[in-house]
Amino acid sequence: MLRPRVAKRVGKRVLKRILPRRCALVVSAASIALSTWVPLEAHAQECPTGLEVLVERPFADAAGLTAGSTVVMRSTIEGEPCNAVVAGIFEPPPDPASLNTTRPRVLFHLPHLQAMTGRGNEVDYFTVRMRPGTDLAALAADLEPLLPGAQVLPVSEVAERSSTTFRVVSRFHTAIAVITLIAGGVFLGCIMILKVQERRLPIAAARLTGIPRRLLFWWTVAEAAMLSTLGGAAGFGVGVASSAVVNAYYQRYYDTTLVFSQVTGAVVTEALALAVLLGMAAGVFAATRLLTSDPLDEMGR
Amino acid sequence: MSEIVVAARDLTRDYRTGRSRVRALRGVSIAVPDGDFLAVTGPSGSGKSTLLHLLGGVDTPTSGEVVFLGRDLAGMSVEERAALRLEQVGLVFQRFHLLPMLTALENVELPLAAARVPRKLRRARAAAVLERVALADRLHHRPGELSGGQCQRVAIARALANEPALVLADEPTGELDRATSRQVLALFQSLNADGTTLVVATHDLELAAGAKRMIEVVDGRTIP
Repeated sequence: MLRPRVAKRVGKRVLKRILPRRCALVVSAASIALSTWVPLEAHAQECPTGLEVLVERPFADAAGLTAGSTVVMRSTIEGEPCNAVVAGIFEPPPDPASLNTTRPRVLFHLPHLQAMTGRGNEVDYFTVRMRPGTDLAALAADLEPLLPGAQVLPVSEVAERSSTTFRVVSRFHTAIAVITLIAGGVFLGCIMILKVQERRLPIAAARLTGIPRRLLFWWTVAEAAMLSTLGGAAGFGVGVASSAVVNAYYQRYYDTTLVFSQVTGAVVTEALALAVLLGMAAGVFAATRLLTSDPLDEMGR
Repeated sequence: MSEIVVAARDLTRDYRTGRSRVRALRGVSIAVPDGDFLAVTGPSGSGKSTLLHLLGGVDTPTSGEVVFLGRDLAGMSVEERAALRLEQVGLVFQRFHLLPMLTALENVELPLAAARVPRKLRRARAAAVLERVALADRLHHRPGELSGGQCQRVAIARALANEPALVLADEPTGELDRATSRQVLALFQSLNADGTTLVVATHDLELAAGAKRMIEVVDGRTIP
């Protein structure tokens, strides 16, 4: 369940600047705005005293920064260089949207950032954690008239709006999965027909000896279902192993804790159910082909 | 006088092959009494197998009648004839036709399972029949692990599983070497001595000579 938060977007552009020095730093007001948003008057850019920053871990590793290191920060390329002390290193939250970005993130105290940028009265957005049971829709409706030009949204909706790219990717995955399942089903059907073809003569002989078609039919279907269940179980094992390999590889490649592949209970249940259904369908198809022919013709009469 | 297990009167059987019509049997009459061991010989395509199929209710005649244990097969549905075959007719084929994924024991159990014999009883009966054909040490072997002669003995055991009134064997030694064929003949003679009624279609003159009596089928007609 989503935590009860309300996101608010205020003012113009985001406070983001690529700072000078060899490694450009992105300044984000979002994180610190969580707790210290205060509307301030605009003033000239200046280096704040006691400037401290938090640096994300992958960048700190690459740049050899540790807590206590000193870095030079600018709000623009022409901006005044300010010495800042690295107060700490933070692990960036796993976020697929930031995987390909090469811009490292640095967190400021809000007053320091406002002083450096000279934009004291601008805040991009901040989030407010609500007490459990708060009616978010009612609160949003109450707040918006009080904040002209602002939008008050539940975090879930913000996430929904910002994840359209991933929805497209997800649809691609679904399409690939459907094609794979169809191909797997056809493959299973072919295997069943081949297996049944192998047994054409013994099954015809069994029919001649009087063994009821019904028994042979359900036997073939049960065998197909068992075969597909075993295949599904093997697929589950392969899926878990592949998932672990994919996660290990890409987590290392992107230096992130983001989980790229998950084998959830729902996925396992759906996959096994589909495997059994496809197997039974293949079994029914193969058994019907086998048992509707004349056994004497099968035996060469 | 012995009871007649199966009697055929004036049987004909026509097949259509494309536009032409082939008459495989032409007015064959025959009676098989209980305890008989009858060999049906004749050249390939003479109608031996067709006669066996008609006697066992596997196929239906174009004309004529087959009476099995007093019941006219013409009046029976496909399901009724299948049930009759399951309980009263044992079939042995030239190429054994055992189910390859089942063991010898399971292959013999199959007709018993189809006849709804309880599991324990059918297992015991299948094992006993396999012992009867000298395969007690091969119960859990699959057909791929058995020789041709052993496979045919499993097939004979399968045919005997439901203690049928009649065993029909179509070229049972056709795939076997001479020594193994003699073993099969000895087995048939032993079964017949124990009361099993047998009709065997064969090219094998040695096997035919080992039967109690023999008829020859030529061009769809019997020559006594």
